[in-house]
Amino acid sequence: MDLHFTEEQDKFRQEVIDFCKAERGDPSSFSRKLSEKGWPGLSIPKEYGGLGLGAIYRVIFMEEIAYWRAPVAPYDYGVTTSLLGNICLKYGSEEQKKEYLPKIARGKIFCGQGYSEPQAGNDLTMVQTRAVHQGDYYVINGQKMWVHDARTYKYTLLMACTNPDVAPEEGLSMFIVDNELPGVTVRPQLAMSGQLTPEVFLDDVKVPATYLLGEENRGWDYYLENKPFYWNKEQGAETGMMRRIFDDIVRYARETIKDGYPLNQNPMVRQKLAKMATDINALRFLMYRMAWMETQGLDLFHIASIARVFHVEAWVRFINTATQILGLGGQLQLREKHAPLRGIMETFYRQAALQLMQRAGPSYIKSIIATHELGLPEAW
Amino acid sequence: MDFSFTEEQEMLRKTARDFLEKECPKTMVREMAEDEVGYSPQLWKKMAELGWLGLVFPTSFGGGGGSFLDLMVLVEEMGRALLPSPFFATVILSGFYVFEAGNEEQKMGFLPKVANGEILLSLALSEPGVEYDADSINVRAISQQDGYAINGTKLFVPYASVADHLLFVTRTKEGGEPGGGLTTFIVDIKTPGITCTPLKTLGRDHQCWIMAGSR
Repeated sequence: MDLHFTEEQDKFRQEVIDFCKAERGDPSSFSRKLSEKGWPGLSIPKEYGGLGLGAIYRVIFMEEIAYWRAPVAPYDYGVTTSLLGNICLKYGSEEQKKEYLPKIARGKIFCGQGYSEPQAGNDLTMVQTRAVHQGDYYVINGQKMWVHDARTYKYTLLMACTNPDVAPEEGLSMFIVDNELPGVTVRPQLAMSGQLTPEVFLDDVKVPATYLLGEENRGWDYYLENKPFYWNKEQGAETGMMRRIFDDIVRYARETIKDGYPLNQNPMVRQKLAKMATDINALRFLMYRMAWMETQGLDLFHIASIARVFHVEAWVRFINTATQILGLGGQLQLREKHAPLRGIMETFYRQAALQLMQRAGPSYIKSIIATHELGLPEAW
Repeated sequence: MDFSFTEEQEMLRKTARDFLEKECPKTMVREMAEDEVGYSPQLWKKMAELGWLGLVFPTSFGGGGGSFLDLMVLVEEMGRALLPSPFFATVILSGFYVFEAGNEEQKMGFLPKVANGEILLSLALSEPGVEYDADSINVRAISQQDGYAINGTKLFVPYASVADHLLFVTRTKEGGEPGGGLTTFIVDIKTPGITCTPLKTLGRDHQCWIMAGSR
């Protein structure tokens, strides 16, 4: 066992840090320059236009652009590479790989996740959206919820039912749907996090059969098998944010005087800071271990479930604790004059609350762990 | 021990629930979260007519002579309806304060007007770098020939943007016990030198930032 990063990995981290420091002042060119580096395609093989660097590099990258609050949503790259990118690479046809992977690697296209529906939240076997094969097309009808910014993303990775006559797990398929196709309507919804998570309506949308990702009726398998990569991506981003918030809060506690002492001498605050540091370190270990297992081709399902539970609970606990340390001022929003840390914790507080409501939240995963990992009998 | 409500309290609860179901639908609650004023003056008027605003003040000050438990019953129903209003700021934070600490003239001057809905009050207590203890109050009020000069910043003053008067907690004496040197003034919010800025907060609950450089 060796828990060190390699010299190349340390060098790569430093390169990302230097890049973020140098370029983050100019949001208009940041994404372009980042794409020129080929970083959106970090884990895409070289033959498809990527850098072929593997999972640990991907996590380092996510961590650092989140830490430096780079003027891109780390999710934009993460969502596209870990959903469309990863599924396409593993299960897509050769044509699909050649079509999408080089574009993803150069940061040319973004693709959101179109899984949930009004009746299918945690349980995607309830997906009602229908795709009917007709000649060279699939005709798709249905409604999707919580689609990653479908207004600005060109594509949605859509889960639809292609065979209603079998068990749901055997009748779902994945499609790459261009959001500009006739019959696609995007209705923005503003979430409490401040992010837009639109509804997407599909009304007799004719999708060319070549946009079926991989094989028909394998969608459920792809979804399950891809979960660990998607979660690992989120952990990268959120660990980066946690490290940054922690550094900010430690500075705040050093510089803020209450009752005649710096806040960092207050026993309650010290307990909180120590707990925050513990959570960050534990999460980083889980996250990098999972990434390492990916590079070794090991089965990720077990570690992914454990890491997911810890990640979401730690993130919510961390944000809550950080906000408490700021006291009453923690409720002030961005740009308010008296807001500590320029009001950023108010935004994080709302974002963190959202994590608890998302699909595959900790309660759901724990029930999976209880059944599948611990071998407990089914719940009543 | 007796945990039961009186018949009058049950009636008050029922009246309040029926009234608020009709007058404070969720659409109104949502509207008010985005609204600059943050409450409905028409509804406030009706609440005054129902006797809610002066419920717990003695009848000699225009109130209903109710008990604290009566108030709990009422406030619980307001919470159930998510009623957006300056009730807490005006009646509980400030009205009680005047009733407890004010002289006869101040009580006569303010409480009947609170009870009939004529004026709104709020409490200016917290300051930047706030804690809930007395020694974190640093806004000074300095005695001058014809009054006091107050200088400083107060934060998280609820519904100050619609208040007519602020109860301004200030420091008038240094040293000694932290709570010993504090004095509260009833300040007309239109007094020159007072500015009120709405704060954008997590709860969207109409708290304000008050700056005073005034007398």
